[in-house]
Amino acid sequence: MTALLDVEHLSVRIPTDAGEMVPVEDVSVTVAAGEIVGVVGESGCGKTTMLRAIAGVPARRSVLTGTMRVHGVEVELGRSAPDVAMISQDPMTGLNPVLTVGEQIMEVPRFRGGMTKADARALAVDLLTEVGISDAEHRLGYYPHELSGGLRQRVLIAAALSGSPRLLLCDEPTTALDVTVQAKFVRLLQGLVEARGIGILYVTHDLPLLGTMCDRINVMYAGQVVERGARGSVLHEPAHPYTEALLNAAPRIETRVHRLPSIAGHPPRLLAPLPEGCRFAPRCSSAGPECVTAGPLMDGPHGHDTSCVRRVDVVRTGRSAS
Amino acid sequence: MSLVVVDSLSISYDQTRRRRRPPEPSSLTLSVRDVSFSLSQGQILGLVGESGSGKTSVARCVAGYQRPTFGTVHLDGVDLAAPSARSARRRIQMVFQDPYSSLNPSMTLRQAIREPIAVHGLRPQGEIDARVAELAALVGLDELLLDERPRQLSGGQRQRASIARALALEPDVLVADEPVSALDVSVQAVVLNLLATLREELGMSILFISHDMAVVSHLCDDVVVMSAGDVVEAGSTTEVFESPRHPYTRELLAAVPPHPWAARS
Repeated sequence: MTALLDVEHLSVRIPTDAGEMVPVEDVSVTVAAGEIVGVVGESGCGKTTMLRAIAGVPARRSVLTGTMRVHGVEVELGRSAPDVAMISQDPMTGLNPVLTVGEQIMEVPRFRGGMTKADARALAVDLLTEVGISDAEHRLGYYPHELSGGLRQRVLIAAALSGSPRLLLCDEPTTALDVTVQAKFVRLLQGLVEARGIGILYVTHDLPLLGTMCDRINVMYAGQVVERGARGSVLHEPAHPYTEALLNAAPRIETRVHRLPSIAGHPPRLLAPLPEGCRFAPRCSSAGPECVTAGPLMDGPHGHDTSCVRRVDVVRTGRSAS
Repeated sequence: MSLVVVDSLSISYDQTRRRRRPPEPSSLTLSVRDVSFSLSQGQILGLVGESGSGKTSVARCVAGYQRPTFGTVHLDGVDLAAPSARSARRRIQMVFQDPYSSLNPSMTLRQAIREPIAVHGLRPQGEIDARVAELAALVGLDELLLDERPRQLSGGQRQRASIARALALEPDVLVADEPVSALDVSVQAVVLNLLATLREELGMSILFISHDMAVVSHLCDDVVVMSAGDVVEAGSTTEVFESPRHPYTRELLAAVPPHPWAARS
């Protein structure tokens, strides 16, 4: 089966005064129809840069290498692909404040899809209803400032869906939302995947959140994917010390600990040339001399891959990694 | 004994003309209604609720940034709204949500931390630098970073600097308004550990405002839950989290994505 999205060896390089920056290096990611795939990482790990490159709106002056196929058809990197839509992080700034909600949802169907105004309007009403906004007809005339954050995020989804995309790229769409609103939003996305059979690539720093919604998870550190696999295996048997450290650092409601295990140090600056071997090694509590030989992801069983040379054997022999 | 006592605090943002008599509560739209709680020495009290619940308004009243429309905030028996309470107000300091915008971008960290000490004349000129170094050590900020400006620093380093600045006035109470919500999990852990250490080593009392139930359950001894301006539930953290009584508290708890390892413990 051809994947909906198939990105191979994607790298993003940005020339700066201080030298060449490589925020994304050799990242491969696939999304199948009907699947939610998560990418998790902390600020500055390159996850947003990667998503923008896939969406065809790369960072300025960036040089992209690699290949990208949508439905098996190769797409030129840096150009927006049909069938792909993106929802950005901030519902407060993602909408144009001087256009009504209706105008913003109707824009793509009218000017790219060539729909008549009446048809586009009917579509906008349907879309708003689909994303759970009641009284949609009336709300078309609202300006963004008249809506709450949760409603604005729903409008952004409706606008993203207006071109009937097969793939939705989400960049931390819930960071600005309250938890109860976030929970509803996640259910909405899951419903859309089921009803429309679309695929979602979801980028966030919130690993527990991915645990509630994703089929597969990619963990990014310093521009590289360091671990990937099915949700259950990544979360319950993390095969990279970074993934484990992220999970350890997250406070838990059920158990109180005296101190949270934090991660010492900070991520490297992504200026070329980057040091050889594992980029997490300087902060890793279980690093050893062999870590300088670490390279790209190594295959593990059931598609659970890790780049950690010290953990890969543990994963391959099937013992729990922690 | 309670250090801070908040008694029947109500806040209205209605535009009111100068009146002879105080307005009737019933004639105003109240954003916060009749909130009471107390904070004792060395206690960490969590104030939770969603956006618009009024938790930040309450925090600002406690920190003295705004006056309550009705009700009082007392510190050690002194009404903070009284003109004579200037020196008492200094004993409560606030740490803000966003370390990216709450530090002056044109000041080095050393200048930012030394400013309140100098303004309040807490130390003779010659001793201020030593005090800044001491504060930096207390919050775990590398002394080499003190001559950097905020833009060169990570979020965690900035938040430590804001905490050092708040501590410069030797407060008894810290009011922390969502101090970790703009931070990554690994950095969040560092700041939460720091707050716990301040309580243990200095006996600091902390009013901790957050919408993140997992963070609150980790750090706080007691918790006050607010919804739409009202306190809907209050009690010890264990009590509230294990057997929430109010439907809103239950809804909040149910919405939190469970930690993947929850089933393990």
